[in-house]
Amino acid sequence: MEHQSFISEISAALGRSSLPEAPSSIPSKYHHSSDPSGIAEEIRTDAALRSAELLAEAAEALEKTGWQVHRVADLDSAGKAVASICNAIGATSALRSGHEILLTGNIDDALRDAGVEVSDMSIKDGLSTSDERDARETHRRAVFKADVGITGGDYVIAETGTLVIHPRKTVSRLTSLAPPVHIAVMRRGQVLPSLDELFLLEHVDLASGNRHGSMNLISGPSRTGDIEATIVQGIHGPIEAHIVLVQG
Amino acid sequence: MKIKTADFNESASRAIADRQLQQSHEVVYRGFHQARIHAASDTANWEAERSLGKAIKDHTIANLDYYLELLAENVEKNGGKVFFAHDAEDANRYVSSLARKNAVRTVIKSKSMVSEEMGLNDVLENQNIEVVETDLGEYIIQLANETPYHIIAPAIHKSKDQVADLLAARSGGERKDDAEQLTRQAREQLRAVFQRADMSVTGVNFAVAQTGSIVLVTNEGNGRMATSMPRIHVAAMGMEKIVPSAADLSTMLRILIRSATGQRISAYVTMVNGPRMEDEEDGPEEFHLIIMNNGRDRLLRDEHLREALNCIRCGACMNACPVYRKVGGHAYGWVYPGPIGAIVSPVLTGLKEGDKLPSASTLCGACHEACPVKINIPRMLLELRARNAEGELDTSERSSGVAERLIWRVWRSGMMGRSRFEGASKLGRWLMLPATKDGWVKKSPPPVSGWTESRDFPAPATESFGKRFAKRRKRNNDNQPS
Repeated sequence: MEHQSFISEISAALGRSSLPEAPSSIPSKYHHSSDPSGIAEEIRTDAALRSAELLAEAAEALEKTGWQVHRVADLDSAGKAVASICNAIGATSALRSGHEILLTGNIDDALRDAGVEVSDMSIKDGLSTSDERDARETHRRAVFKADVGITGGDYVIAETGTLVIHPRKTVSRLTSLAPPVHIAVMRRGQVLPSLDELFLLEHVDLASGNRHGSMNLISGPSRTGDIEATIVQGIHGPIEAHIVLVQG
Repeated sequence: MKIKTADFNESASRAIADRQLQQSHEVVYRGFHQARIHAASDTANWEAERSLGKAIKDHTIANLDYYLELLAENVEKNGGKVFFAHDAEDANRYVSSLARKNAVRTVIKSKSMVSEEMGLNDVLENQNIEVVETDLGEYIIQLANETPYHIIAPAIHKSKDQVADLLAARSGGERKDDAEQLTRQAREQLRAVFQRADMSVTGVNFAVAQTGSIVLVTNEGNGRMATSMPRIHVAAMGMEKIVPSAADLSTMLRILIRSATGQRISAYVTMVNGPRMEDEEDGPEEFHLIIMNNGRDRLLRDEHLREALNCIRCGACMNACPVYRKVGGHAYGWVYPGPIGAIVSPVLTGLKEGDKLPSASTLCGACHEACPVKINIPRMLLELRARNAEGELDTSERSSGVAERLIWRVWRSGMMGRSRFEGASKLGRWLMLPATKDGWVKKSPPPVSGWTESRDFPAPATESFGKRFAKRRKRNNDNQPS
């Protein structure tokens, strides 16, 4: 149907002949008159100031939503923690996202020492169209074969025990989804108190043109209750979800 | 989807007599309903969140034309395509032609009630396109060739044994017998489908007007698969599913998820801002948003029923409803069951077919109390009943019969004066006496049998209130000390 006639019908149903002006009094937790980027700045400052307390709150909530939480003192120990999870589940192949925390943490070295083969799976720059299509096809097939997917993330939400990832270059949508086990590494300072702060930051980012293709909120392993309401972990996504929280 | 709302009485009776169904209704009630109550009491500022949710929806619906325009503009700005569908047929045509143009062979679906309104699966299958539901519950009922039983738990009425047969038949493989093994079996079957799918069709839990985004809520991860694997992603929404800003999502998600399953949050919430970015590793190359009216403008136009468009499809009213808990989801005969379905289904399907649904309620108010956006469902059910009785739902005939109208006329005349009222009461008692047994009237001749077939009437008192009152006053006067 024509866009215009569809909208006109809605206007008519609401008893008017044309589109209204932008509404002025919009119900919201935030005063729309105030400066949202100012509020965003406050949120970040507050999260940094309360980082230790928020990390402790997050650890508790993450466990409640089904994450297996591993707390470590520093980044060096994070690599060892990831490797030991891999060994415990008998993983021999891992997909790793390009999150900075995994690169500076030398996760690859720790995994290789533990006998786990690591692939970053990112599509290389400057490929011809057909080569790029082939690379994507290979990637799509490989993600279903890896034993474990390892990622960082953008935020952890203390209210709900949620990991937030914006897929982007070097951060595949599938690394945290297709392998049977997902391991995330996050650090103090990345925790936001609640969904309110997350979606306000997202609102500000999107309004300023800082857009990702999607955003994923991940709260523990994939699950279903569709067979006689029995909760089973691991239907389309990971059967197990681990998160390594770095204190330092 | 085929409209069977007129068969309410027959389907309801069947469900009430089915022990397995009654057991599954109890599971829904004990699971979802109790979990919701717990989640609400466990959430700080729950009532304030509900009020804000209602305010956001009231505001959006009152400015729906503005927000639809804004949403379309922003989806296109993000590189997506928008299609406005006047009705289900329009929407089906769009999806079909898109599939044809792209030589699509396999479509995966991630739970969409709107696509049930469209009857999309049949339309695509008729073009020899493989369509596979990926929500486990939807997958099970697709294999059983049925329709969803509950909007959150579509296959809640199927036993484990029935599921085991369906899954084994699909793969020709071994028959599994516990829920975990069955889930793994479905996982393997569906992973193969994800890998060959060219196109996905998903629902939309919320669309954000200011950013041109859509939000999908799932526990299984099929929403994520559907927005990661296929080359083309089509999202289909009812036109009312909008919020103005991304900042509204925290409140809306909180009240939706806690009301639906009692969880603090579902395992996955995915916000899609268009097709994949140029330098992204994976994700759909094309994003299409179908915005469907399909009779919703009738709700919008009607100030007494407009509030029904605030519904965020959590299912809480169904789980809370004593009638739903007995008759189950299929009795309501169309896509949306339960108390909200009793309003939405008759209006969206064109009123006449659904005129029994507004009566399928005791008006106890549990739905109103449970609704996360405080929709006053009982008020609207009464409104529809009144219109039904007045013959406003369908102009060709009044749905209340000649006999009923005659009875009311006699009743009115009997109420008009004291002596007539007393005479009529006497007559009534005298008429009911032969039918009285153990203090109840359980049988009666037509047309009154319509009442006694489904409920008992208390036997009339042997003495009228007027007589007793007069006697008592006399006694009191006699006992006055002089």
